[in-house]
Amino acid sequence: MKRVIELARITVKQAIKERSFYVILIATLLAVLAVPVLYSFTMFEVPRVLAGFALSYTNFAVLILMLFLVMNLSQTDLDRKTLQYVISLPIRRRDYVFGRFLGFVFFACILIFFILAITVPFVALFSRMRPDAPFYIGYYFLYGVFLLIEVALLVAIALLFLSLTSRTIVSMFGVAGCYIVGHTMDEVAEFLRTGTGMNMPVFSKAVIQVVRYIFPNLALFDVKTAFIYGKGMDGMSLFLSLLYGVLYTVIVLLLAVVLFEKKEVY
Amino acid sequence: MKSKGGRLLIVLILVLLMIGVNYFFDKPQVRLKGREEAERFRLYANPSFEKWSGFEFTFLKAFYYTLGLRVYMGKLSEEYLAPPPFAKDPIVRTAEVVTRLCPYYYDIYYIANGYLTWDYGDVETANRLLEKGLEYTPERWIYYLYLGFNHFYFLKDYEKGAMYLVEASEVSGKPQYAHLASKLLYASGRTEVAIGILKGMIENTRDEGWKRGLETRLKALEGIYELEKAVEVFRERFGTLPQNLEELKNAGIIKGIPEDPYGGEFYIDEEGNVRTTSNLTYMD
Repeated sequence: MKRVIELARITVKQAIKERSFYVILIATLLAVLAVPVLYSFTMFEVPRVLAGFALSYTNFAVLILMLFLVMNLSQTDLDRKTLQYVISLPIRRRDYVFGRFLGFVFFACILIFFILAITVPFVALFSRMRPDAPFYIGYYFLYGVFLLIEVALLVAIALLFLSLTSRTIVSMFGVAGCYIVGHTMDEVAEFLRTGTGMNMPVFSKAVIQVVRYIFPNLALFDVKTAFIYGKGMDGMSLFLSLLYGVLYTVIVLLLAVVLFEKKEVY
Repeated sequence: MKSKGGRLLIVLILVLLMIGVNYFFDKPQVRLKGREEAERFRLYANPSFEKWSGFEFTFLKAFYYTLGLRVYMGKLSEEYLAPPPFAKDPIVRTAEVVTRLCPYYYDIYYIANGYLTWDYGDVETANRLLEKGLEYTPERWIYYLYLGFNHFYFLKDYEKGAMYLVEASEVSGKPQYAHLASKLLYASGRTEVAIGILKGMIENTRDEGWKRGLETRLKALEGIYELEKAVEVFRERFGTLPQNLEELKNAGIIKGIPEDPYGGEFYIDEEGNVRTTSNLTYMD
């Protein structure tokens, strides 16, 4: 465990060294500047539009940054032969995967709540200037937890692909593919229940069902609209979504560990 | 040029060049020509595909598309006094896509309802959209108010209109709408009810442009209502309908003929109803 934590610490340090924090800071400042602009463009329900924008920005910024960070650090590990060095050390390979994972997730956690904390005063301030809809500050931060679980799941998938292949570009496309499928399968399942969907060939329906049960259902973590409009999912469904995310992440991570144990590192 | 200052100068020059290129090419002649105005508006995919391709960002997409529609209609309003017929399709398509992307987003219902009813007479589509909005946000009493108004004023379905007004009153806790509904049920004059509903709409509108439009409409309806009351007084006093508005003035019932803010002229038709040559839209 000590080694895992040490590796996690190194990962966070490396992430900070990548200057990603500065990029996020500048991007977040620009996003904050966009708040008054959006305010003037909005006809009704200003607090909802501003909260929607801030949460979407957080979502987008963290996803993009984490994807590049995971891929970049993995590429660096390969280029500088760090991976070979780490593996030659008396630590278990699984510690490397767990350590990297914990480091990335911890860094993502800092990023998410850092962005939310920076944006919330501006959203709250401009919402107060035209309070024609409620602003749920509790939901605002609760969304951070859902985003964190989604990012953790995607990081685990990225590590899984990196265990499978040494080409980061392949891993990158793999993660992007999982992201796209993960966010659309819920809609596709909905479509299958409609009249047109019912008439689809049985084979196509079977393929869709299989794909649906293999890929993660990322739509469960897209609770922005529900939170903005206070269209509360009840406590139980929130809890079950989070539990689903944690379980799926653990399984993918274990799969990554198993594959990484067998990975040939040149 | 390898010094720090030299590099900074090059960066500065390049940034200025970027701005310059943007400035130079920001001309109408750079835009594509020869396209019909209706085509100038964006093309949408199937609403379901628009939702799929939005991933986690459907709310932002809904906001962006609605803003696009507002800009489009704003540009058209610079060229045309009233929204042109070809703009109806972009409004309906945007409303369908946006309500699929985020069915809670209020602005699109407001915009679509405003244009489709008053400018295009497509009350059925407007009502269908409002009903969809109610499916997702049944607590939004303003949708009931719009539905009530549409049924009452445009479709002349007073009973259904009254039913929606009662719903609006119950959901909002504002008794004035129930009061209006009861008046409607007893058919005590639809112009008066229309005035009441418009006042409610103005109260709930924050956008200054929309507010001005509603106030103009309110002013016109108030003029009509004043004349309708005067016609009734004339009929009671003389046992016949006035032939024109001058008669009301000569009889001392009104001091002057109100102005139609849309540029038309009020008149009395053969059945004694007060009408306007503008038909409540701006005249060319």
